[in-house]
Amino acid sequence: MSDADVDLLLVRKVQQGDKAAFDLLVRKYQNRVLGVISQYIRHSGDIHDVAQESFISAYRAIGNFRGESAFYSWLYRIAVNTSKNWIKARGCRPPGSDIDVADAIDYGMEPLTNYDTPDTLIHSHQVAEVIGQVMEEMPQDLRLTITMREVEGMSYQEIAEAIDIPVGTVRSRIFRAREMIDNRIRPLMEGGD
Amino acid sequence: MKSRTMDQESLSALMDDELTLFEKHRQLTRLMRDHELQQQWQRYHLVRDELQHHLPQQFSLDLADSVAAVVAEEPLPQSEVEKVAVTSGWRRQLAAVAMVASVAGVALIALFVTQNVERSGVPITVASGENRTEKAGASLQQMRPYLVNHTALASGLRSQGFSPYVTLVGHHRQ
Repeated sequence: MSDADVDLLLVRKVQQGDKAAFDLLVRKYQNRVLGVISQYIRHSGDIHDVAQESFISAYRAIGNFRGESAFYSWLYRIAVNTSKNWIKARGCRPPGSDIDVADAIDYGMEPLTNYDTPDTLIHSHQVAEVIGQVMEEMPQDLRLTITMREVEGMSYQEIAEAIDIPVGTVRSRIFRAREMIDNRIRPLMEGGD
Repeated sequence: MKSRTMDQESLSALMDDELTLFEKHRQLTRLMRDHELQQQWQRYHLVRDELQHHLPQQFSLDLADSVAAVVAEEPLPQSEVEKVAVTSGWRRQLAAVAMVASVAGVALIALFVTQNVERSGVPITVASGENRTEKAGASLQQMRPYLVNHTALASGLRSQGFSPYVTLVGHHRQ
């Protein structure tokens, strides 16, 4: 299940000066980073700003990333620290005081940075709805294969052995399942909300 | 069209880390140059995040673009070691120049002292062969009055119960 090798290859490319490789890491992990930050901060515009700041901090520090831990673990720590610093910089009461951290963020103080707020926001339930619908309509062999891969985290070889099909067929089925979902997700992503 | 589908299938396999190292490099290079594939990479991960329950309640579609705009203005990333090497580079050069200057200074002082000593008449080299015999003869001439005085003084001292502290040594020229 680990795609740490791909991450490390991308990190090495960034360290060698390839900024496009960093863009791929952002596109890969942006949702997870937003998810982490949303545990600390409530407003979506603020979450976006802090996520942006986290990724820029990661870019500035990536020269020191040696691959001793997974890239996402490293990025996760940056996102958590950036969120905490952001809360402190806004003069909010620290966690554990009489006002909850999330409530403190809702007091409407001035933003830390001047980054633009997001133009396009999507609610995850919209995505979840579409994906759920496509999964139901999908042929059973595709649904089974993509579930074993994405939900169970099985490798192609493990799936092939489990359902007794060639590895090439596993690869092809997973791609077809992804394509079916992608064809329905794309209009949502292009249209925004 | 077929090639495009193969690219997309490779992208799907890349996401699952199911390519050889060579194929990974090739696919990543292709991905970094192809905006459409990048969008697909993003959507595939969005679907994965949803299936693994990693999606936040709301998310923005332009985060990657806004980060890319800021990163485009950033200098290339450097490690701390490289930063130290760059900032201390001029110090190392200065230290090297100082060391060279010190060695040159010591050499000059040594040369100056040597020349002064030679000018003052004190020999600093050992004479050899015939030179040594001639110089020994010249020295004996210089020392003769001293030796005569010393002998006279020593005999006087001996009569008063003091022993002379210098033993006279005869010198015979061959």
